[in-house]
Amino acid sequence: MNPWFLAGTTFFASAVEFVEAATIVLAVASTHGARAALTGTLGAAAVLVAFVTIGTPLLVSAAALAHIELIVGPFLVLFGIAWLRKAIWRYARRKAQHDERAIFAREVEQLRAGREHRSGVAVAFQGVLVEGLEVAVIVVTFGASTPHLVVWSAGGALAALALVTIVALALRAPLARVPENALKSIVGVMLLALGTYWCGEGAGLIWWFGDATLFAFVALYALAAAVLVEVHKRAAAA
Amino acid sequence: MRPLRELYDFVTGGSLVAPAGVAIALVVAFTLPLFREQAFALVLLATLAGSTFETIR
Repeated sequence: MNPWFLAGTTFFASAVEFVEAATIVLAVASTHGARAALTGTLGAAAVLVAFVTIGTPLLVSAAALAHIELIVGPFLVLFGIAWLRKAIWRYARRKAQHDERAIFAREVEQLRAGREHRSGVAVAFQGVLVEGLEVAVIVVTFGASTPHLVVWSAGGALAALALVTIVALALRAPLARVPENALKSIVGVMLLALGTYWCGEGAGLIWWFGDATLFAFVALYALAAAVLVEVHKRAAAA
Repeated sequence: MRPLRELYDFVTGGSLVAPAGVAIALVVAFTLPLFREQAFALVLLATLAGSTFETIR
């Protein structure tokens, strides 16, 4: 398995989710102060790290009963389809674009209103936990499938975390210029390609070009996504 | 029921077609005597296409 492929997938997936989490944390910081935002963020990060640390060996031991690829592969295919179809809908303008500035403004308004008795810590905690959970699941599945490459899959996620944190701290504003839909498309295609590869391997299929088949799947799914965007655009116009 | 629904949505992205397509692809992979790789990949490709035509949320 190509380690760069694993690291790239977790990097892009994490970048998208951490950009969304950063918007919520920045909203909390602007209304309840940096301390509340940091406390909530660190609490959620601790839960996610515990989930990855405990979940990976648990999944590996569960895989002793069956092929790990048959557990991990279907999950990745489903995640990939979920990411890619939302991106297709957004490109075809059948779903609204993700607007970080609008989400930031809405969060700040809700936090200032305080009608729901939510504290800033709880909002930051929940935001980071919800956005980070999908990344944590992806890292766990990658870690269980390729334990010898866990440093690469976890490293991709940590690199994205570091990059988003540095940029968010420098700008102190939502990262609205990040091309989220393009990133979501890339992640969707990569997850689908990996899921297809592992799922098939678990079912005993012998891929034509070995690991290089992954890149054939990437090309195939990217082409399919481009065609589907056009089909949906025409359907919306009709 | 709501936590179950949320778990289902989290795993499947809210798609009914996707889990059905994956199940069919696996059956194809395990049972087809010939061209298993091609059929498996085609079913998943069709699943992606089919799921994009589900109700847009």
